[in-house]
Amino acid sequence: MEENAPLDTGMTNAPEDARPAGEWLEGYWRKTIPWAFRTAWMCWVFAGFSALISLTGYQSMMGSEGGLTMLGMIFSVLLIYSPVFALGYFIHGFGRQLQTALTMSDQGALENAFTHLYRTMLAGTLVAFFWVLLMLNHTYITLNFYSNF
Amino acid sequence: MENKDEIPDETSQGHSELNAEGQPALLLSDVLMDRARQIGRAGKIVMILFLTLCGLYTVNLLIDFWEWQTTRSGDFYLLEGNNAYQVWRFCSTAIMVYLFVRGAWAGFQAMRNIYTGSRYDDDDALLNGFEGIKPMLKWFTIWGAFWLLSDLLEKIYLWNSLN
Repeated sequence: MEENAPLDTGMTNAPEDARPAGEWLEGYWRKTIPWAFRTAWMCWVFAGFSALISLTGYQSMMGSEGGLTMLGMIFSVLLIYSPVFALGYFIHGFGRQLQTALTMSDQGALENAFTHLYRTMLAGTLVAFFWVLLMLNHTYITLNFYSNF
Repeated sequence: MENKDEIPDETSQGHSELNAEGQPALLLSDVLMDRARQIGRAGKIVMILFLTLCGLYTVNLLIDFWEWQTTRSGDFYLLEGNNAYQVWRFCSTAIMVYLFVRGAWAGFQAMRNIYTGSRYDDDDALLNGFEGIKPMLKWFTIWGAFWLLSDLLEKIYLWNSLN
């Protein structure tokens, strides 16, 4: 006599029913890793260099301003460039996790890599929004200045 | 009977349970697809903001150029006055805007494809999207390197001209 099959036969959840990424996709990811590391380093150098330039601009005020004001200035500079630093951190995390996922065939690391990429995009939104605001302000001042000629 | 004319799916080509190195294959799980959708959505906003930034930067560059052209008097000699520095500044800014636009445009296309691919289970779009991440990072890195180099040169030039 034929046995009854369980009712949940054939009903599977991820990852069993998920599609394999495939060699092409894994190949693209592999090529992306070195550029993720380069971009991360570039972000850190960019943030560090820009913060240093801004801080040297305040150097002339060092003697005249109080300690608390100077501390506030340093803090504000660090606050301005911290999203760029975070951008670098998340891109580096994306590259590192992607490398682990591909070398160890680690599904969890792959999902973590894309979580880092998502955070990169969130930090990128903050940076882009801030830069657009700054540029809008600059354009407004420039146009105002030349309209008086 | 198996259909021999069936075109193999690109994302699952050569895969069953193990990949080429004999390890378990990485999967496009639901979690990954959800994440890809989020990346695509947020990424498109970032890239649109970056492209807007490039537009504003170009407007500022053109205003600066127009102002320089209208206030400059006499014949143009590259090595006279501040002309060499101004020409260098305009050229470097134009190159920087170009590099940034390349990165933002590559990023926008990648994010659009990732979003479409993950939203509508379109494997071709997903492949193109993930392929587009590398050029996006590459152009932004080149832009960053050029920006640092030109800014450093400008600082050295200004330092030398002031002292």
